[in-house]
Formats: sequence, C-alpha cells, structure tokens
Amino acid sequence: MTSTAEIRNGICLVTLDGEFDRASVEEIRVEVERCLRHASSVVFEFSDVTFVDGGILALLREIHDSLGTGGWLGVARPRPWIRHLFEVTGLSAQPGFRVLADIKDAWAVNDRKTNDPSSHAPGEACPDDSAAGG
Amino acid sequence: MIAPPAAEGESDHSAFHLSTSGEEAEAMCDRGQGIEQGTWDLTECKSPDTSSSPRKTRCLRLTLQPDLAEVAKARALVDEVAALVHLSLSRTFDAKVAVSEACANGIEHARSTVRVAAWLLRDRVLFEVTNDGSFCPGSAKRGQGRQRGFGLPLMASLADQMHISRPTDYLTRLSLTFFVAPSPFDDVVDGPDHLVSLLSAKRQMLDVAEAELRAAAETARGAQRWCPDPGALADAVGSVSLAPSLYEAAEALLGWAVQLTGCSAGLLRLAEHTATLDGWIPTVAYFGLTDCFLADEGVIRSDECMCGRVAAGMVDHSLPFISELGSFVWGRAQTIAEEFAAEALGEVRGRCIREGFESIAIFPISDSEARTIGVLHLADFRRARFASHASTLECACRVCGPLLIRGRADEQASLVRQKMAELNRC
Repeated sequence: MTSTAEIRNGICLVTLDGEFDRASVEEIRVEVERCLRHASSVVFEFSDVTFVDGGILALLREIHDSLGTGGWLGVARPRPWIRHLFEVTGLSAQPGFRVLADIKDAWAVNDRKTNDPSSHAPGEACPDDSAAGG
Repeated sequence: MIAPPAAEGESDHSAFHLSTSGEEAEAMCDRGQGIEQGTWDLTECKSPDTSSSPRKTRCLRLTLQPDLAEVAKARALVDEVAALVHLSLSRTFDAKVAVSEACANGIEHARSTVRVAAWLLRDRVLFEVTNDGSFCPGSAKRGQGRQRGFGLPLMASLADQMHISRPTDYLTRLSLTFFVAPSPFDDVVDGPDHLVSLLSAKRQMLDVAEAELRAAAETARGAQRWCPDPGALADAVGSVSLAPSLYEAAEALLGWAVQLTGCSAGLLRLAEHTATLDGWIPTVAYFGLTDCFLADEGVIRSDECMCGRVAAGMVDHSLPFISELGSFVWGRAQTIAEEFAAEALGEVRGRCIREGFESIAIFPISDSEARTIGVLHLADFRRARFASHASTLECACRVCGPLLIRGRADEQASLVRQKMAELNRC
C-alpha cells in the first residue's frame, strides 16, 4: 500500500496503490491538504487500487465538499466494482465529481475549467513536502 | 429476532443452558476447536461418530482485536471464503467491503473485540459479525465537518440480505448474506432475451406462491376447526404473514413455537427447492443452539438422521414417537436407545442426544398439497416438554408452509427488482 501526491498540470495528483481503509484516511488527508495549498482540484489515480472502504469514500466526499469554486475531484481508472461504490454512496451524483477513463482526461477538464493554471511545472512535488508516504 | 422463552420451572441443566448461550458459548466452541485469536481455520465441527456422508456446512472463524489495522484480516477471510465457494470477483469485492464495514463499526464504536463467523451454506455465505455492546451506525457527520456514515448504506446495498440482531443483552450481531448458488443474474450479459426468460421463470414462481397463498387461506380455515388451540394458531399465522422476508417469516414461526413451548432451543429447515424435497435441507432460522451444534447440523440430507427422515416422510407410524401426521415427539431422548431397538430408530447421528437434550420434537412443514418442504425442530434439556403442544405445532407447520413459500418468492422478486434497477442505471 503506497500513496504519493504531487502537483501536475496545476492539479493535485494523488496516486494510490493497494488496499486502503479507515486506517489510511488520516495519512491521505494530510497529503491532500498539503497539496491543495497549491492547486484547486484533486485527481486520484486508482488504477492500482484493489480495495477501498466506507472510510475512504467518506474522505473523498469530504474532499469534494471542501473544494472551492472551480475546483473538482476526479478519480481516474477505478475498477468497475469500486466505481459501483461511488454510485451506491451518491458520490457519482455530486456536481464536482468525475470518473476519468484516463489520467490525461484530467488535464483536458482542467483546461476547460480554468484559465489560470498553476505556476508549478508538471511533475513538481508539493513544495513543503515530503509527499511520498505509505 | 426471537425473544427468549418465558422461564418455566427449574431446569436440571440450567448451568449448562446458561453457559451455552451467547458469548460464553462462542468462547467454549472456540476453545473446543482450538482456534486462536487472529487466525482462522476451516472448521467443520465434525463430530467423531457422524455418518460417513460429507458435511455441507462449513464455518470459518476469526477474532479481531479492537484495532482498525485488524480489519484487513477479515478481508483476507472473505477472500478465503470466496475461493471456497467460487464467488465472482465483483461479489467478493462487495463482500469484503460489507464485512470490512461491519468489523470497523464494531471496533470504532463498541471498542470491543469483534468475532467474525463465515457460514458456507449450500446456496449462500452468511457472515456474522458480532461485537460487545450496541450497534451504532454513526451520525451523518462528526466533528470538524468530517464525513461519516457510509457504513450502513454500503452494507445494505452490497449484501443480498442484512440483518441486525441482539442475541443477548450485551452482544450485537450484523448478519450479511451473499447468495452463491447458481445465480442466473451473473450471466445477464447474455442479453435482453436471457433476462426476459429469467423474469418469466421468476413470474412462474410468484404465480405458484400466489396459488399457495390462496390454498393456505382455505387450509387455515379448516385448521381452525381441528386445531386444539385456535388462538395460538392464529398468532402463528399472523406473525408469519407479517414478516417481510423468508428469513424473518421462518424466525417468526420458530419464535412463536419457542414462546408457546418455553423450550431451550430450536431450528427451522427449508428445502432448497419447494415441493421437490431432495438433496440438502439447510437451516434458515435457529434459536438457543451453540455454533458447534449448528456447524454439525446446519445442513442435513433429506434421508439423514431423524430430522431428514421426518422431512422426507420416511417414518414408521406404528412407533410411539411418531405421530399420525409423521412428526417425531419424544420426551426421554437420553434413554431412547435403551428403550428402542436400533432398527426401530434407524440411522441416527445422536448429535441432539450428545448435546444433552431430553425432549426433542420434529414437525414436518408442508405446502398446500401436504408435500413436505421443511421441518421445525424443537429441543429442551428437560423431559416431556412437547407432547401437550404437539397437535397445535403440527397445525401451525401445516398452515404456515405456504406462507413460507410466499416469503421465498417475495425474496426472489426483490432480487429481480434490484437487478432491474441496476440494469436501468447502466
């Protein structure tokens, strides 16, 4: 189980790998909060996530609700049964929530949504961080 | 959930009875099986002298310490179960989420150890997650605006059935059922024609249930005349009719019988397929029985032991312990082998006798055409508990059979509706 957060194309990109449950919530929350000081939107790369529980889903909802105007929350490439959980919990119906078929779609969405891209270069780690964890 | 029977006189076995309920029984059972905390084992609870036929009930157990990091062990248990019953990947995932939520709830809110039992039945896996204290699904939000409260909707959405009960005053149990029997819905990708044929089959099932219900009304009217206790019979029919699912209907009938007789224990079996009593007969409701007993006896074959033979109607009516309607009722089970020849008793596993029961009664439950679809099995540590109520219990089993068939059809209809809703979303 690993998680990393970085700023890429003005978006906070969080890459998770493995199983995540309530025990991981605080660690992910801290990383995302740190990252969001430099971005208004968050995208989770979920292609290697094999399990999430209600605690992680609640965290996603909490992050979604905390984003300001213009911000949005994306989850890229979730497995079908994880995507089903987004529907069951009502996350899919939230206006600022998107499921992405590919991480590249995130950049396109962001280009459409904002004319003020972040000053951080692609791939740059969160400035005050220690971003890697897990 | 079934309320405990009213106390009735002194029991010679009260100490044993008390020690075989709730938490202590589980502790006894676990010690007996040599299961360690935090590990699990495929426990068949097979008694040494059971018949040579393969047992169909298996039970895997796990105890988690009150630490959220322990929940991953429960998910590993679900993986183990899923491999044994060939659960699909997506259903395995659903079960992992639901069981994980139930365990996390127990650890977070009750801060107690959490015991997980996975019952591998013929057509379903039943996960029972038990913790000390009360069930607390959490509020929608907790302090600092942080989100909470997805646990309950997740469990209710992902499990085929969810049931919350309090087996004792100080335990809470969440039961999560996942059907694994050849699920026709797994193959819906075959296209709309396949779905239409499935719905047609379910429709026929509902039609049969409707016909049963009409016949049941007629049977009930007749039974009111020949039942020695029409008031009690009306109570049974009322409570079974009002139950919203098969399980709750079965629990209602068993609970009524337990209240009527004040007995220590009981279970209710229903055949896999209505009106074709062949193969295995699983337990769908139980009360007052140890987990070890249930693991041994949870599923029987229809020609196995006295219970199976009563269900199959393979009984000798000339014997004093067999009633005119084919029920087994006896009040001195501990000495039955001394009173009757082995040929008269037939092949019996003797599990009830080893459990210490003196009074044993097994009543066939039948459909509107008097075909047996299951049995109601009552037991007590005291002698001669059931003879006085036998006729009333026989009446109730005869009248409530069609109502249980209706409950099963309703359950299937609910699955169809759920599947349709999912397809509509797609």
